[in-house]
Amino acid sequence: MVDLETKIGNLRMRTPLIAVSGIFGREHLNLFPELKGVGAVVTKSVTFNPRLGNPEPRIIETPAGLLNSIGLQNPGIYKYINDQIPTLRTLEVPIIASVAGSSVEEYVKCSSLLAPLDEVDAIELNVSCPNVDKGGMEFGCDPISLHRLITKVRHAVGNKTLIVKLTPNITDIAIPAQVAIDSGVDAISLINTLRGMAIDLTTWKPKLGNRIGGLSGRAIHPIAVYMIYRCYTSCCKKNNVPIIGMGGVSSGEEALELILVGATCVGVGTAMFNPFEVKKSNEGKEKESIFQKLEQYLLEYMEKRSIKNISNLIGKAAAR
Amino acid sequence: MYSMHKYWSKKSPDEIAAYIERYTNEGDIILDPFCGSGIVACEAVRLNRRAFVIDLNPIATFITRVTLTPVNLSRLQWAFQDLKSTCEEPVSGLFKTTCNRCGKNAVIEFVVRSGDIPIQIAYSCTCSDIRLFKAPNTKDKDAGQIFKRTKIPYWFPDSTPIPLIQKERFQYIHELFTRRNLIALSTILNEIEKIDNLKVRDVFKLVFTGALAQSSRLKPLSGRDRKRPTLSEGWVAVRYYAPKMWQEVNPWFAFERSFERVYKGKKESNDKLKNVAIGASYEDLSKEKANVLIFTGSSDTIIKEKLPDQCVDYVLTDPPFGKHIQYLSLSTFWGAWLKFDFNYNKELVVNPHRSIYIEDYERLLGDILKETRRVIKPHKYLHIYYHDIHGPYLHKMLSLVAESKFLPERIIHQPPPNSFGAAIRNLKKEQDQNGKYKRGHYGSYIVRCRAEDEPITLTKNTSTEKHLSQKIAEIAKETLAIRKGIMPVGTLLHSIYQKLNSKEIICFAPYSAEKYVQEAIKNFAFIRGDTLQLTRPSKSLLNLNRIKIEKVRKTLLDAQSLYINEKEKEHQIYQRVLRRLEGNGITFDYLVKMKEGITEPEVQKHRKQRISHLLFVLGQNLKFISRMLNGKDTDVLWKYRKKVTIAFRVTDRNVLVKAYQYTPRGAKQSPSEVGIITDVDLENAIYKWCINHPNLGSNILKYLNPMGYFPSDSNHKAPKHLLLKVLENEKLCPGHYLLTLQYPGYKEPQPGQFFHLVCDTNEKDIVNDTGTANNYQLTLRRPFSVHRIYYKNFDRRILATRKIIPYEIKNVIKRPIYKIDILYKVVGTGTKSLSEIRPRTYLDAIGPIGKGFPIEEVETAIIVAGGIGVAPLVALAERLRYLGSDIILYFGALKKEILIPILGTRPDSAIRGLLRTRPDSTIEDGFMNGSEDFLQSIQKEFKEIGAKKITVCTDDESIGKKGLVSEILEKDINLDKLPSKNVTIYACGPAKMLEAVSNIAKDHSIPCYVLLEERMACGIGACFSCTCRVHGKSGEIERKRVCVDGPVFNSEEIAW
Repeated sequence: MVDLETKIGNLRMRTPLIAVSGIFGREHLNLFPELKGVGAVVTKSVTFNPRLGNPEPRIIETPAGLLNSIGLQNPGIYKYINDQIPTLRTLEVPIIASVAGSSVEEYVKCSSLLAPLDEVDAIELNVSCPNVDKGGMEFGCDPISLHRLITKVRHAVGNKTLIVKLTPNITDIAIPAQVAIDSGVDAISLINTLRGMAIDLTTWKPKLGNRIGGLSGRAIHPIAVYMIYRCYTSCCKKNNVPIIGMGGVSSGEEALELILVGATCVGVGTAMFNPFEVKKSNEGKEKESIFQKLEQYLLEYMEKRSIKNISNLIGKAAAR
Repeated sequence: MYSMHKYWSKKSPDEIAAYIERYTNEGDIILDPFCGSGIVACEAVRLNRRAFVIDLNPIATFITRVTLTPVNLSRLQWAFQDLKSTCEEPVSGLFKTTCNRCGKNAVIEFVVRSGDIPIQIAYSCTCSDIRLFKAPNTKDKDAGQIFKRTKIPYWFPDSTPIPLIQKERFQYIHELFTRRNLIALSTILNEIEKIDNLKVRDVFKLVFTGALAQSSRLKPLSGRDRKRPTLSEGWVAVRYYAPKMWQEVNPWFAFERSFERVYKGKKESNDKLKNVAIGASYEDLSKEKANVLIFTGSSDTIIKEKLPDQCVDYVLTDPPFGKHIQYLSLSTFWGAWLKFDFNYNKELVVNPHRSIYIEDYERLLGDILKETRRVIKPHKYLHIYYHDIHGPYLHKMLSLVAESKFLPERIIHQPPPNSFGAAIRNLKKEQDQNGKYKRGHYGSYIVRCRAEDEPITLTKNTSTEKHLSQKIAEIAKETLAIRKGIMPVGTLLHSIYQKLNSKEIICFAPYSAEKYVQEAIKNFAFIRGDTLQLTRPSKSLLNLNRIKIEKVRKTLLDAQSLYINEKEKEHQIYQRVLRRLEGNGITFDYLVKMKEGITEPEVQKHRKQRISHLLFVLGQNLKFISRMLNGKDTDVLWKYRKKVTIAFRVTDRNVLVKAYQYTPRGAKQSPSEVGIITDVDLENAIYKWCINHPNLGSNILKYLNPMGYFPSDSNHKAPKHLLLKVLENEKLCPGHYLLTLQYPGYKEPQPGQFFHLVCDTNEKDIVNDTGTANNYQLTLRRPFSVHRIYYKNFDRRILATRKIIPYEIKNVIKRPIYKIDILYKVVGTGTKSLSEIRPRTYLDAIGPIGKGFPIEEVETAIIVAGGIGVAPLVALAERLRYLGSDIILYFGALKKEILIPILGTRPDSAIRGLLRTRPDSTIEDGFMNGSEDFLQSIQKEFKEIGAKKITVCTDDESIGKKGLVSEILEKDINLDKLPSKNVTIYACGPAKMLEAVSNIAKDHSIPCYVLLEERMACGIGACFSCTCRVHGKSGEIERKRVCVDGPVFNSEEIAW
């Protein structure tokens, strides 16, 4: 029997597939109620105070990708805990709460509120949002403040599984990754969106309301593969810290690529905007969610090569 | 630092500090004639005031002195180590046992005894970190016998009698200890006496007294688990109660714990209390040589001897009250060991066993207050605590205060502070929904008094008295009403006390409060025991106060039903039922008159069943026992206990209502006919009620919907993932396409809702590098509004021929839907790809999404469309026509492509207007420009559904009028070309047009709904891509999601 079960920190997951932050909401429960194939769910980043977000338009489709600039719109931590968590707890998959903020205190306040909740299985620190003025990417790019942030949050959350999501908008991803590992995170999430722009040729203005945005989608997949490879070989393998890899995954092959360069889990983001695939079979038309598709591919691949456990695949392409 | 020792009725230091800071300046002298454990003294010193404190109880002054006196902490530790080395071994020698695990010798922590028989032994052994338990063996049992013969080596209080509080089992203090413990305690005390340093010795004496209660017979079993008791504090009661089951604690363990507590306290007091100087006489205090004076003795004599006239700035004190706590008698327990003398004669207490009665108490308190008045400066304040809430002393104390030339100004309620964990927890438990305490109240009162020159005469001032009596009656009514007609008297007094001013207090003082209250409320309530009850609810109570009536009403209704006479009961409940009906939107009107029923065949068919259902559900929601019967006389029965029965009979034309009442014995009386309900009214009433009660109402609607009566509430339904077959994808004119999709009938879309489509079929697979198929080329779906809804067996062209819409057409929307249209214009890659889709393929869709247009019956609907924005409005117009509204269309389009104004070019006026308002229009140009064919096809569609008036405006006057659609609309409204009554505007188009239209609507106060467009990603509300700015409830700007919170918004809501 092929085993897809994965573990990050204290977090056990049925499959290594994760619905990443900002795209999955409780609204999805109506569309795919059973969440087949999903290992865990990361909720949209929450800040201490409610945030309005950036001006519209906030999303632009580019060839093979997507530019977004939402700007962390969220109802604030208290509403998040009171309104959203009760709905999400009905899920049978673990929930990872994503936390963002503009100061160390904000991160600490949010995560210390979330840490005691049983419904929240892990906390992800979003230190990589490219669309906000203050905070966000500042922490991801500055190793010193990243260290300060993570040690303080770690102190506040105790044993809770702590994940940090890093930004690719940096010369060498291994530096913040090493700092994060030294400061005591349980896992590293790679990669957030890349900064990008799109221009309207009629009006001679940027298409996005916030001018610049973050690029995601299939276009960034090769970058994600490199970033995970770099982190895995330089620090994560040594310290035995798992990587949650994401970036342009929409098919089983792309997911497997990330696993082979060192990702323990694979996040699916932009591809979730088209969450279903319709299959033609003898019995008629069947639909299959993206997660089922990826899970199916991984299972078949492993069975074909008689690999028993998914952990035997991790980082195989990274070895020289 | 105040938890070093257990002493009774400690006040919160924060509270005391707040009073001191409020009423004194630095350097002022504060007097406390009943200092207790000395919190006032400590806080006064901490806040740089000077304190003069007295207590009759030597233990109290001892605790105060030790708390105040700074001690070298390392010395304390050394002394403790010395004590440990000398005492621990001999003491633990007395408490030896063998370990059940390892068989070695172990030290007993405590023995659980029932009477004198040991039941369980708790001991600590080197083999385990935790406390171990075992059953005592014969050796352990014999141990007690051995000690009976052993001589007690050192001094102990061998002949101090226990002062009588009430009948006790023991006569002497030493009988409260086992012989073994006496040996151990006397050993420890002996070692303490050997300490040279006086201060350190005093501290250890305090530690010793702290350990006494725990190592006596007064220590009850503690801890939650009875089988595994713990070693927590004992004896917090106010009498010498020796429980039958008790713990004989090893005194050394008790001593050690007590030391930890005291050490912690001293550490804190050393930090907080700097510059403590305890003086010997008033001169020390006045010359600022000292800041604290502590005296033991009766307060009246001490004040008389030690203090001159008018020297004290502020008095804050908490005198003992009545017989509740017999301070001196209880303190003897400690005092006997420390060889203190107690002066029982002068104690301010009531104790019938010692023949001290309330008169003696009053006399002594009066003397002390008079002395206090002598030494206090004129017009300074005295705060006196009063916390014997249930006792009769308050008015006595007030009169004493008044006699001693103090004017009682206010009675302040002081709730217990947060630090008093248990008290606060109890308090919260006892709160009811209104935040009021169920039983009485907690905390204490503080009476604020000002020193006056003249004695206050307590006169019966008639005018004040009358006013007071009115005031009390008013307060009583109000609180009674809130409390449902019954409450403890204490609660009423509590609310009265706080609302009195000084004049009223004086008037109030000479009498017992209850008597006064009794007189004031005799008209409407009576006191029985400790509770106050409404005699019977009177109507005047209801008319109490216009503002408060709403709050009072609800509760009084319940109160009424509980407190009316037996005879009136049924009638009252009957009335109440009718009132409930009224309250739920069913008015009396239709209970009286009979109207002509509507004889539509469709309605008639299931009518009886349906109405029965409605009544059944309504009855359940009104908390009746509701039943559906198939009897000849009754269809639905509502019951309320055995008081009232209401029977409904649904006939062909109406509903007959009969109500039965019961005799007091329970027999059914002959029915009295209440009236007749015509069905339409009832349905409307119930439907309205359901809409207004979202939680219950939606359930009822859900329950009733299988009967197909109410229109489904689409807003609350979640969108579905669908595969829609393309029937046609027709090119209307250049750039404009009409997509027709087959629609499965199970979830009907509403006008204004949209579908999120993948603009691509899964038929043409795109193969990527790795060789497998990825279905779709486009990353995102595209939202498309529903343009037209086709109902089975219905041709809409009939709408144009009829002026008044017949009943059948109104019911068309209940028919199944078999296909829908989507009108779109090619603007980008998505729509381009969509336009290439061939018929008989399948489209991947999510929908219908969003809130549709609110469809109300309006007389005239003005539909304002800009360019392709007309698409959703066709479905809307059609739906409105079914309901019989008149449609007036304003349709604007640009025939020329909008270009960004490059220097030198001069666009003509219409375009210029558009560019002026929004120069960077990008989506708009996609919206606006349309060809002649397009305009004509739209005109045709509106003619088909029978639009009353169609106005088309273009930029070049080629078709219709020239100008912007909003400008022309405004002109027409100003010229009164449009009807003014019952008009609603619906608009869709470019953002600037919508803004202009909503401004017009606002100016003329016409309701206006707009459909917004924004770029979308997920389409189901998760990603927050498609937001728009709206005014929040509290006025600030919020961002709402167009996909699920919209796309239709009330135009007033939007922040343009």
